[in-house]
Amino acid sequence: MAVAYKDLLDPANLTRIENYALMAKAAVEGFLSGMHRSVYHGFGTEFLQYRNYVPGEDLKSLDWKVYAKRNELVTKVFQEETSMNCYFVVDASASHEYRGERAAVTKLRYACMVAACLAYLATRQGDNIALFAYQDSIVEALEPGHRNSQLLRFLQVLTRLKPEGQANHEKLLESITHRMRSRGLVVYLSDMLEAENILPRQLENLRFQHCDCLALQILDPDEKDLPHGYPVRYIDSESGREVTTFADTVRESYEKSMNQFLNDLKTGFSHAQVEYTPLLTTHHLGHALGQYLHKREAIN
Amino acid sequence: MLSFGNSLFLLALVGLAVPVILHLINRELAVNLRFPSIRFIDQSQLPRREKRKLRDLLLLLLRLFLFASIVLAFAKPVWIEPLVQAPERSSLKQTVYLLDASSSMSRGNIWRDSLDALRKDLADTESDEIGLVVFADRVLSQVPPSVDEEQVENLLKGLEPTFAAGDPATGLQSAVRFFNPDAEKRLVLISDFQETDWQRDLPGIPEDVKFVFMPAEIGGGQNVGIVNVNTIPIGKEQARIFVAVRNNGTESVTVPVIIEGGTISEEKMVTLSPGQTGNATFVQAVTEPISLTANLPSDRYIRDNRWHFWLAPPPLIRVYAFLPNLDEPRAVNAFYYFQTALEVESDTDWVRFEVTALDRGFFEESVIQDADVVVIPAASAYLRDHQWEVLKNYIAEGQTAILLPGDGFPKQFRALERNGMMSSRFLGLAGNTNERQTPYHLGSVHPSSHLAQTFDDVAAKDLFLVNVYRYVRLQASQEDLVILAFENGDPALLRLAVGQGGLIASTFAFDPSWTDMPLRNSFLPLVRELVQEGFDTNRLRKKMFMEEVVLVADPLTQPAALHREGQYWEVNVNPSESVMIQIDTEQYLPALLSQKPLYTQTTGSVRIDPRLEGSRTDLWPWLLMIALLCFFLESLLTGIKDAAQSSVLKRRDPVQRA
Repeated sequence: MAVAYKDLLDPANLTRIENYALMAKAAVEGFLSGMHRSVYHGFGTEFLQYRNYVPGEDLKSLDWKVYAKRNELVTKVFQEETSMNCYFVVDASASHEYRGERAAVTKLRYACMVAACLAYLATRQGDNIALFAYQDSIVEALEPGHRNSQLLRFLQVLTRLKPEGQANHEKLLESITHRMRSRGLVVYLSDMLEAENILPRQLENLRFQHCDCLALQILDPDEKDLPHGYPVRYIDSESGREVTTFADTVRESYEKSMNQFLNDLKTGFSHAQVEYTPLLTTHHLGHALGQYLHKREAIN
Repeated sequence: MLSFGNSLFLLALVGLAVPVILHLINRELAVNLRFPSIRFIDQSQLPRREKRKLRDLLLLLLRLFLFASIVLAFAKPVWIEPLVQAPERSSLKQTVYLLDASSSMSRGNIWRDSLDALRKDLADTESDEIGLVVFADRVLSQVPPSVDEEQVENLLKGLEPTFAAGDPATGLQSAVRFFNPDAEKRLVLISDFQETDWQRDLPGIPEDVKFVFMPAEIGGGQNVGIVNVNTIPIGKEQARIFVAVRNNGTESVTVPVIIEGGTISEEKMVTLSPGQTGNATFVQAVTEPISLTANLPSDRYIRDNRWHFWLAPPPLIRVYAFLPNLDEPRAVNAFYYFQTALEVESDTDWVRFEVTALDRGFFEESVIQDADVVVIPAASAYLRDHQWEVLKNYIAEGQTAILLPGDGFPKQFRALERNGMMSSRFLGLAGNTNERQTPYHLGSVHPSSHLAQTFDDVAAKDLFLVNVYRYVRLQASQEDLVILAFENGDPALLRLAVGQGGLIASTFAFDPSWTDMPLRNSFLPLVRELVQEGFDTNRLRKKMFMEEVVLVADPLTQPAALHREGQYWEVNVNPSESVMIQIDTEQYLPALLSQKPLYTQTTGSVRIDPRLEGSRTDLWPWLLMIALLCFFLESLLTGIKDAAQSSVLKRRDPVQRA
């Protein structure tokens, strides 16, 4: 039975691969091979690899010398060379520790998987990648770079991350804004809880630094519908506050408030002209990758 | 009916409410869950479990049963079978006569007068039912209350006072037990109310029992009785006879005491003040065992005027000595000295010994149980483990053994420690050669020991001149009695308590290399007294009172001196019956009533005093079994419930699942 590429991007499957590098490669290559045509190769000038000619491709990329020698049609693929920086900002606060019964990974693990895949993709594109992870302050910072070792460092940082503390979005965004000296793309990964009034405005400020911004909100499915059918003493992961309730009786009001919150975020980001994508930890990574590529193409 | 030994424990049954309340108010427990944000979660009332599962109710019931069973078991419930099931009649009148038939009732006309008084009351009484209890030292015969008075009359016919001392306690218990709880109760006590009988520990009588005392008129007059007769040997063939006589009358008297039997007849006069006890002393030759009587002239109570006793030498004391190896010179020496000292014919000592040597294989339980005393002279090293056990069991049954150390003394004392026969500590050897210039000397005799009777101040001087060249040092513990000690305080002879008997352990061997004692004058009396140290020579003569259980084929109808199964028995009337002091019934009545009643009327049930109970059945073992069963079932159900719950929780609780 053939494995659908979507299955390869399922977090439940990918999370079995502990190593981020392997995971990212499997996800991205799987994702790309599933696309009808790879349009993101060949813009650069640095030779990357040979590939069998696919009918319909531009004939100018054919390597006629090889054809003359071996009677095979092969296409030369070039590495695109850009000077764009891709900044990944990962929220590693304690609220990302949660994993509901429907999800296979915690929110942080999902965010890291997304970040790893996007970084791999970015590196493959020739972009410089940078990483900022934060809780109440920045806990990990990796300045932009584009060598192969940069991706390894990037993935190592992701491996080290542990969900702790409270998220201080304002402080983070203020401190990283001045580090972004050249144009680039900011991929912001967070659950954005209780920050619907701050984040759109803060991320809008990044645009003034010539940075485009992709806001990916990571949520667990439980946060959407509060499915627990038994009495629960909910303990806030970040503040430690508690509330004991029977979800069945408060679900309706919860969903209403949560939808309102998501709508507020959506509206806020829309006004701020920030690309906003909510992701659930059960979604396969193709959502994020597609969103990224879409954004990346828009920038180009 | 049901009774409780510790009824206060029943208060703990209040605790049964706790699981019930918990069961009623129990709400489903909330699961702790760390959640990203509780911003939109409102607090709500936890729902009460809507439907109780059958399993929960079963659990509750089991827990209640478990708790109740344990509490009830601690309350020591007892089921008492009521002995008398009288018909319930509200207007029933019952009279029970309690008739004293102890030996003192035979005095003068007391018995006849008492029966007349009983019959007169029987004729006059208006009671519906009449009962009778006759007692002496126990209940002799009884007629439960009935309308048939003839049964009482029939029992009284031919009834005579016994030779036994009186004990009204059992009679009172029987009489009170006869009463129907709802009846009008009347208890008539007919007795001489002799102080020695009625000042015992008597059971209390319920307040609703009406007493009628019928004290017999004991009158005054002279009453002198024989209390005891002792025979003490003088020399080899003579004995001194002490006849103890007590004046129970109210005036000084001078009475002749006559001993008679066979060809012997001798009289001595004794003068006694009121309440005084004096001795009449006789000296008689003893050629062969003879039973004699000591007699007093007739008075108001004739049964204490004759005392039967034996004038006979005690039987041989059988001494078994363990002599396992004839090639062991020290053991043979010690045995020889011991045998010679014991078997020598003494002019002054009535007690005679027979010493038998036991070979190694004969030191077994079946053999040594015939011995009066067992001696192990310098041969304990040859005792095997099971033989130590045999020796220990022999002593524990109340016998005596003597242990003399030999060359294997460390093994001997360690074996004593190991077998739990000695709590003193073995320290080693003091002195190691007979050439020692300054030998050790004995220094003190324990004043309460048998030895102290022989070795008084003068006789002890020779004992204290004995040279001991070496001895085993022991640190005496409080449990072991030091009979003889050295000058420095170290024990020389110890009496070790083992069970009911005693082991006399010497710390030095009776051997020339250890001591010169066998050559001393004090050796012979020392050995003979040592054997008697733990041995009661009086046990060879048995003294009994009438109505005591005697191991003779035929029950005695009269006091007598008997010779049965090698024992000399002297069976006489208990001298306590001679006392003429009557207890004051006017004062005694309230005292009797003030005691704890035999039963109390409680709400709907009658509680019987333990002293009156019939067949008792302790219920607490059953309750504990029920508790165990409940515990088992509860554990089973809880286990099933927990397994089910944990699988549910695992399914529901992500944190737990992780």
